[in-house]
Amino acid sequence: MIHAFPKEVHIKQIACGATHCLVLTTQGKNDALPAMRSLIIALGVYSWGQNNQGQIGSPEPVPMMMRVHQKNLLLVQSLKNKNIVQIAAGGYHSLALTGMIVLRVTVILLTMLIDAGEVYGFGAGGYGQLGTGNKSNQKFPTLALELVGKQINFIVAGPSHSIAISTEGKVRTPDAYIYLIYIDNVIKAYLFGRTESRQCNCVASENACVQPVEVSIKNEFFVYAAAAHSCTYLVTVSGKIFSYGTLWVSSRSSFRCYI
Amino acid sequence: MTDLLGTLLLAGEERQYLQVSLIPFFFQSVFVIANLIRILKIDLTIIAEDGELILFGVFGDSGVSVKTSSKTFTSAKVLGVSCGTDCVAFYTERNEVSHSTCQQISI
Repeated sequence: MIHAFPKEVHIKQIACGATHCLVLTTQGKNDALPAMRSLIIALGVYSWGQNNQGQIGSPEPVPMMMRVHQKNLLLVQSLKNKNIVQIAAGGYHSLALTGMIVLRVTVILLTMLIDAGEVYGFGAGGYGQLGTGNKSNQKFPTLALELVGKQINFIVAGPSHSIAISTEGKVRTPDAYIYLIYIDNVIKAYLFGRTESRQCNCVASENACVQPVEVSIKNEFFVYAAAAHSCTYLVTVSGKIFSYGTLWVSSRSSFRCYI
Repeated sequence: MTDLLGTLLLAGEERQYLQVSLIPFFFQSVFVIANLIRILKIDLTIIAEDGELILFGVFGDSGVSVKTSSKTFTSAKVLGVSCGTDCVAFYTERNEVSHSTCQQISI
């Protein structure tokens, strides 16, 4: 099945979950200032697929037994004005990350940052993988309260757990409207959700890591992450890969890869 | 590069997560492939520099690896791809999103 977007709409990212998909679209680029070319104005998040647990963040979920799939792309209305910069589709849950909303008053060169790095989760939350601090499913995007204030800049959704990488440090702007440069970085990762195989680096009741577990490694900055069924991978800027959980090589053997 | 890195990482992690059941008809013009493959389980996808999407998969449950290219079913440059447990989707330079319908079909 093919969906065509208007020419003025720019597809920025696509993400597939177990039985649902998300598309992040933007509209045009802000070319008013050369230094601002990377600042793309988010237009919206579209979703389709199975919605039995609310993972497409739109109308009423349907029971699993009905096997009903939303085949048409739906705009996730509640994310429309959130300046979403990244999406992630897990097994039966979805995450959306907000970017920086820059308000500039040219006369006094005032720059303000609002709602930077907030995470919204929807869909299955039985293991706490939405970051909302509980194990409830969410039919519509809900702010991940456990991650508020942590300056999240990268998210990953695995089958039943999630990863959020933050950049908590001092911030300075070289001039009035250039990119932000972080100094004195303390880059951390937060793992939450199912931790049956310790993929969230913790042991929790009912294997549900509801409170995000903070992970940081001395002198290493996380830049990328991936989440599999029972494993978590964190990639550092130096090219090292750290993993948590169990990596199943085949049905007959496995090896563990804790750090 | 991030997409490629992500895809490779995911593929190397755990087969269960990336065994995507791909509906050949989904690609509309994959009839040549459809004649040969009943269910294609995608294990790995790579987008080459020229926008070619390369799909690595397994022929049914036989364990025989197969490889196919997006050039078989689209001439558009593929800009992004994502694999789920039961679906695969990508978008092209034509501003089109293509995706499976999250079902398994035997041809």
